[in-house]
Amino acid sequence: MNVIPLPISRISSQYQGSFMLSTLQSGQLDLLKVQSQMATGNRLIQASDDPAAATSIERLKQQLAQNDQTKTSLAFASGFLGTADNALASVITQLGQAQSAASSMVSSTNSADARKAQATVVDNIINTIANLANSRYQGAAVFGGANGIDDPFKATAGGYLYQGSTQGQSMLLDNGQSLAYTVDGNAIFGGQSAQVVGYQNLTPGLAPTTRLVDLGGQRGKGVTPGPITITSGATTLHVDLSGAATVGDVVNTIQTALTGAGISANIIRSNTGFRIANTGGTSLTIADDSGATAAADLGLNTTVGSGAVVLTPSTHPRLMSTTPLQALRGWGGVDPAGFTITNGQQTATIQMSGLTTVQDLLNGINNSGTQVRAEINAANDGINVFNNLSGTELRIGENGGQTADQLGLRSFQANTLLSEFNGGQGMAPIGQQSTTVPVTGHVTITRTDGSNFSIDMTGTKSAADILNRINNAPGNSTVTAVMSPTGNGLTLIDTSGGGGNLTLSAGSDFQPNGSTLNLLGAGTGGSFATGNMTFNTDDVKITRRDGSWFTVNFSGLTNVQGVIAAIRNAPGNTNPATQMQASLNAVGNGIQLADPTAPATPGAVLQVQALNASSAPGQLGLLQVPGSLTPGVVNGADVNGLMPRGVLSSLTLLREALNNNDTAGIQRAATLLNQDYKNVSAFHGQVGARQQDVASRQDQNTNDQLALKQSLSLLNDTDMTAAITQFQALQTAYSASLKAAAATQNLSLLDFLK
Amino acid sequence: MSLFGALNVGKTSLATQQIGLQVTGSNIANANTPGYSRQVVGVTTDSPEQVGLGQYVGGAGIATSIERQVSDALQTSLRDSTSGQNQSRTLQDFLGRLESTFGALNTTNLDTKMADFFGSFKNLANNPQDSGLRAVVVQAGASLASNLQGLRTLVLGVRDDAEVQIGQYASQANDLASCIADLNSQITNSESSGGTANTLRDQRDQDLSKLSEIMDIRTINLSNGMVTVLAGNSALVQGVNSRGLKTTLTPDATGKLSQTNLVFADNGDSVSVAGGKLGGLISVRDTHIDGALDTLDSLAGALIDTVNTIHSQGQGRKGFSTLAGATAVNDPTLTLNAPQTNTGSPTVPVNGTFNFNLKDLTTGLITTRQIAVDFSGSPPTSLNSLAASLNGGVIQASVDASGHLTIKSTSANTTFNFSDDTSGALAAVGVNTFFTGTDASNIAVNQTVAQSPDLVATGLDNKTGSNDNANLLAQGYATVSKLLGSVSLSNYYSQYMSKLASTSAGAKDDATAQTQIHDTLAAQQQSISGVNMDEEAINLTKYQRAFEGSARFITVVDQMMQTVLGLIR
Repeated sequence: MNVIPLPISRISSQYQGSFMLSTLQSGQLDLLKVQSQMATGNRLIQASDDPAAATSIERLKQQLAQNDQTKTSLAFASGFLGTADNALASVITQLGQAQSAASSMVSSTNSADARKAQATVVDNIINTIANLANSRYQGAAVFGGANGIDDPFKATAGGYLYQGSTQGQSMLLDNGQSLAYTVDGNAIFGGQSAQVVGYQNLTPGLAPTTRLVDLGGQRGKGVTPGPITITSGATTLHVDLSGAATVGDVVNTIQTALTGAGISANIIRSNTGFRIANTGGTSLTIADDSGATAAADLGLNTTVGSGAVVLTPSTHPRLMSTTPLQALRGWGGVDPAGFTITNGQQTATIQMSGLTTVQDLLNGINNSGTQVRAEINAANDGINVFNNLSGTELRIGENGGQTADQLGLRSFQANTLLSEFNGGQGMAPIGQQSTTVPVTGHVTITRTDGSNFSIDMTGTKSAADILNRINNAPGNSTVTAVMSPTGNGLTLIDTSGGGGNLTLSAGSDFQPNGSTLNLLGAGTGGSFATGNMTFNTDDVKITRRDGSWFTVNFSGLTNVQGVIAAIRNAPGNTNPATQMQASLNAVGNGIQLADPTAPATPGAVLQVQALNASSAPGQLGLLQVPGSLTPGVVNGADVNGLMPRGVLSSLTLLREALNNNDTAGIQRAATLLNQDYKNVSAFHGQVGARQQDVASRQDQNTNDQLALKQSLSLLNDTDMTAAITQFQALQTAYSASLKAAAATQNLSLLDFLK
Repeated sequence: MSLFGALNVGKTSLATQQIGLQVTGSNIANANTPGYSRQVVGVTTDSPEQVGLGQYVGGAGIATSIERQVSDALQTSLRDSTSGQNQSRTLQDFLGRLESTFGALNTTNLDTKMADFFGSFKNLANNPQDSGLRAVVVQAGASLASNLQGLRTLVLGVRDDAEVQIGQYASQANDLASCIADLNSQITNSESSGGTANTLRDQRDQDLSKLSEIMDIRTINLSNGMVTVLAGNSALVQGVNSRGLKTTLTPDATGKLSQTNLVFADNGDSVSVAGGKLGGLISVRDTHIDGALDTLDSLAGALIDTVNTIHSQGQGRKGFSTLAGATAVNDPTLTLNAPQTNTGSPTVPVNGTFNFNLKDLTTGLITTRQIAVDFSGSPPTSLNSLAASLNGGVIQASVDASGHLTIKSTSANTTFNFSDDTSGALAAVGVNTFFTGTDASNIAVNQTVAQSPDLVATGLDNKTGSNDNANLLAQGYATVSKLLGSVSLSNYYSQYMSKLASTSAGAKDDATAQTQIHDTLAAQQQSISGVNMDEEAINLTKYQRAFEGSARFITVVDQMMQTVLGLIR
C-alpha cells in the first residue's frame, strides 16, 4: 500500500475526504492484486510486475515448448524403432524357416521335385520378408532411409530393386543434439551393400567461375570471404574479399588492388590454387586481417620474395554436380574412351562424348538401364556406384581406355582385394595346397658295369617316393638309394663293379613338372649324391607358345596388383625376350596375359593350367582359352562381380538353387543365410540398443520437463500461503480504513455546538 | 467618548462580524469546491477616539480586506508536479496497454506462435513426406503471419487512440488558454479599482491547474494581476491574448504513418511539450508505440528473410511446373541488389549463384544449370537478365507486366526446382519462398506453398526424402539474423519483451513517485488554502458571539442614552 504523505500544519475537510478516498482506493487495488494472484495462480499478472522474473519465465516457457517438441519427436522415434524392432523379429523367424529349408535340402538325396516344392516355400518367405522390409510407421518406410512414401523394396524381374535412400535421417533435440533415428535397412535386406566406392580423388581444377562455397579450403573449413592485408615494402594494402563469390572474383579483386597500388606483382589461378609472381623489388606478404580467415582458407597467406613465384597449396575444390568433366584430375580431364557397366544380364557402355558435367556423367550411369545408382560421395571428392538390384552382380570395366580407372570406378583394379572376390566371399586360401604335382615319365640308371635299367617315376611327389621307386625298381639288384646324411637329397650306391660311373639320365618322357630334383647326372665311381630336392607347390603353370613354361605361386597375395606382379616376376619368366606380360584387360575387367614368343608349332596357343589342384587360377579368372584370333593372349575373366549381400539376395539365390536342383548353390545360399541370420540378429540388437537410447532420452526429457516446470513454478506460481496471509492482512487494513473513514467523516464540531 | 461614538463602535463591530459570518458562510459553502481557496477577513481596529487629555479609547474592529489563503510558490510547484504526474500516468497507462497487447505471459502470444511455427518444421523433419504435417506447417505459418498482422493492428489501434487523445487535449488546452487570457483581462479590470478579485483568481488558478494536467507550463505573475503562461520557452498566453493551440498532421519518420503535431495556432510553430498528458502521449507514441511497430516490422522482416533464405535452398516433395515470383520489382531492368528500392523484399541479394534443376519425370534424372547472380559484372544482374539466364530448352522465363518473375516448363514431363543459392536472389524475388511480404503489415504465407504444401522445401540437394532443410528451418528461430544486428529472432523478441516490461515497470514506479510528490504538494496546498469545517464552525460561533456582544453593547449604549434622555423629562 502506498504511503500518502500528510501535511504537518492544518487539515482541510476536502483533503480529509480525498485522503480517505485514496486510502480506500489504494487498499482496494492491493486487495484486487492479491485476489487475482490467488484466482489465476500466477504471481505475475503483467510482465512489468517483475521484469526480471518475467524474462526468466519467458525463457523457461520457450525451453518447455522445446522440451515438449522433443517429447513428440522422441515418441515418434520410439514408435519408428518399435516398428523396425517388430519387423526384424518377424524377419528372424522367417529366416529360421528358410535356414531349415536350406539345410534339409542340401543333401543330395533330395529329389529335384522336393527341392522345387521347397522353392515355393522360400518364395513365400521372400514375399513376407519383402513386405516386412516395406514396413511403415506413420506412413514413413522404416527401412527406406530417407526414401519417403515409395516402398523401399520393389519387386522387379531380376530381383528386388532398392528405391530407398542411402541417407539416414536425424531429428533435432532440445539440447541441440541431433539423433539419428532411421534404420539402415539396406544392409539387412540386400539393398546397397554392393557398391563401387570411387577409389580415385577426382581433384577438380579451379575455374574462374568456381564458387568459393565449393572449395574445401586449405584448412578444410571451407572459405569465409573477408578482408586481407597485402604488404609490399612500405605499401600496405587492405583488400576486402567479402563480396567475392568466385575464384575469378578473388583473382580480379586482388589483381585490381595490386595494380591500383602500383605493386609489381600478379596473381592468377593455378590448377587447384593460385600462382603469385612478385616482379617487384621487395617481398610481398599476404595475411588475414584480425578475425578474418580468407587468406588462410584460400592458401594465400604467404610471403613471396622479390622476383619469386609461389604456387599456393590446393584450395581443395569440391566435386559438385556442376563440375565440368574437363576440370577433373586437376584439369587433366577424363579419357574419352568410356567404360562398361554390367549388372546381371544388363550391360551398358557409357560413352563420354557429349557429357559435359559430372551430373551428365551421373545421369548417364543412372539412366543406363542397369539399375545402378551413381552419386557424389560424402567427402565430395569422388563418385560411388551402387547396385540397387538384389541377386545380380555389378561389374564396371574399361572400354579400351582408362576412363573407369581414372574415375575410380573400375570394379576390378590393381588394388582390388582378393578377399572381395566371389561376391565378397573371397578366394579359397591360395598357395596352401595339400598336394604337389607328381613327377611324370622315366629315368634310366646306368650302372658302373655299363648295364642300365629304367625306373617309372610317374606319381612321385617326395624324396621318399623317389627313394622307394629306385630301390624297388624291377631289374635293380645293385643300386641302393638312401637319404643323404644332410639335406633333402639322395645318395645312390652301385655295387655292380666295373670301372664306369653311376649315371642317372632322363627318359624321353621325363618331366619334373616344376619340381627341382637334382636327380640327373653322373657320380664318381659307384656313388652318386643328388642335391637337395624341392617339389613344386605352385598354383599355376603357364606355357608359352614356344613351348617353354613357368609356374607361379600366389601364396600370400592380397590384391590384383600382387597377382600381376607375381606372374611377371615368376622364376622362369624373367627373360625379357620371352617374358609373359600380365596386365588388366583393356576392355572390361580381368587379368590379361600376353605371350611374346612365336609358336613353336603351327597352331600352338598360350596355355594356363592349374597346378596342385589349386583353385586360385580359376578364382582369379585365368583359366581361359585364348581366342583363335589372339592365340597369344589370355583375357582373364572378371571374377569381382559385386552382388548386394543380404537377406533378399541370399533367399533369391536359395530359391534359384532349389529350382535348379543345384546342391552347391544350396550350400552357398545356406552359408549366406547363416551369415544373414547373424547380421539380422546383430542388427536387431542394434535397434534394441537404439530403442533403449531413445527410452533413456525420454526419461531425461521427462526429468528436464519436471525441472523446468519446477523452476517456472517457483517464479510464476502464487505462493498461496503468502497470498492468503497477505490478503487477510490487507483485508484487516481495509476494514480498519473503512471504519476510520466512517468515524472521522461523522465527526463535526457543529454537532457539539448547540 | 460620546455615547454616539460608542453607538458607532457597536455599529462598526456589527458590520465587521457580519462580514466575518458571511466569509465563514462562503468558506463553508465552498468547502468542497475544487480550486476554492479559503478566505480570511482582515480586521483592523478603527482609529482611536480621544477621551481625555492624552487618553484614547480603541475603535471598533473594521473589516479591511478579504484575503485568499494561497502560496504562489506552492501553486507553481503543484502545477509542475501535476504535469509530471499526468505525464507519467499517461506513460504508465499506455505502456500497460502495450504490455497487454503483446501479452508477454499469455499462452497464445507471439513467442508461442513463433515457437509453434518453427516447431512444426521439427515435426515435419521427423516424417518429411507426411502431407498432414506439411499442412500443419503451412497452417502454423499462416497463424504466425496473421498473429503478427493482428498484433500490428492492435498496436496501431493504441497509436490511433494516442493520436485522438492528442487532438482532444490540444483542443482542451486551447480552450483553457483562451479562458486564462479572458480571466487576465477580467482580473485586471476588477482589481484596477482596488481589492482582489478572489473568485476570478481562483478560477484562473483552477484553469492553470487544468492546463498543467495537459501540458507542462511555466507562469510569470505580473504586477497588474495578469499572468503570462509559457509553453516551453514560448508564451502561450500573454496579457489578454492567447496564441491558441492546434494540431497538424504530418508523415512520421518512417513515412508509413501520419502523426499529429501540436503547434501554435497563430504562426504554426511547433510547441515543445515534455510534460502533462500531451507530453506523455507524444513521448509514448514516438518512443514506445512506434518502437513497438518498428520491432514488429523488423521481427517480421527478419522472419521473412530467415525463413525464405533457408526455404529457397530446398526442395519439396514435388517440383514446379509453373511458378510466379511472389515479389514484384519496380523496374525489371534495374539491378536486383537494391531491394528496398526495387524488390521491396527484406532479403538483399549478393554476388553468388544458385542451381536451377530440371527433373525428367520419366527417368527421374536431374539436369542442373548454375545461374550466376553477379552485381559486379557488366551489366549487373537484373530481373530481366535473371529471367533470360533461366530461359531455354523447355523452360520459358520472363518478367510479367506487374514485375513478377514467371517460370514455366513447356513439357509435361519436366518439372523444376532450386538449390544451393549463395546469392539470396531467389528469396529476394520470392521464388521458392515460404513467406511473402516485407514487414508485419503484409506478411503472409506464399500462396504457391499454401495451395500446395508438397512444395514446402524439406530436402536439400535433391536427395530423396531428405529432411535436412526442414531441420535447418526448425533451427531458424535460433539462427542469428543479419537484419537484426546479429541477434536471433528468438532473442530479439525476448529482448524487446524484457525492455517493454522493464520500461513499463519503470513507468509504474515513476508514476507512483510523481503521485506521492503531487499528493504531498496538494496536501500542503490544502493545508494553506483548504477549508476546515471545524475551524469554520469555531469562526461561526466566534462571529456570532461577537455580533451578539456588539448588539448587547448597542442595547447598553441605548439604555444609557435613554437614561440620559430621561434626565431631560
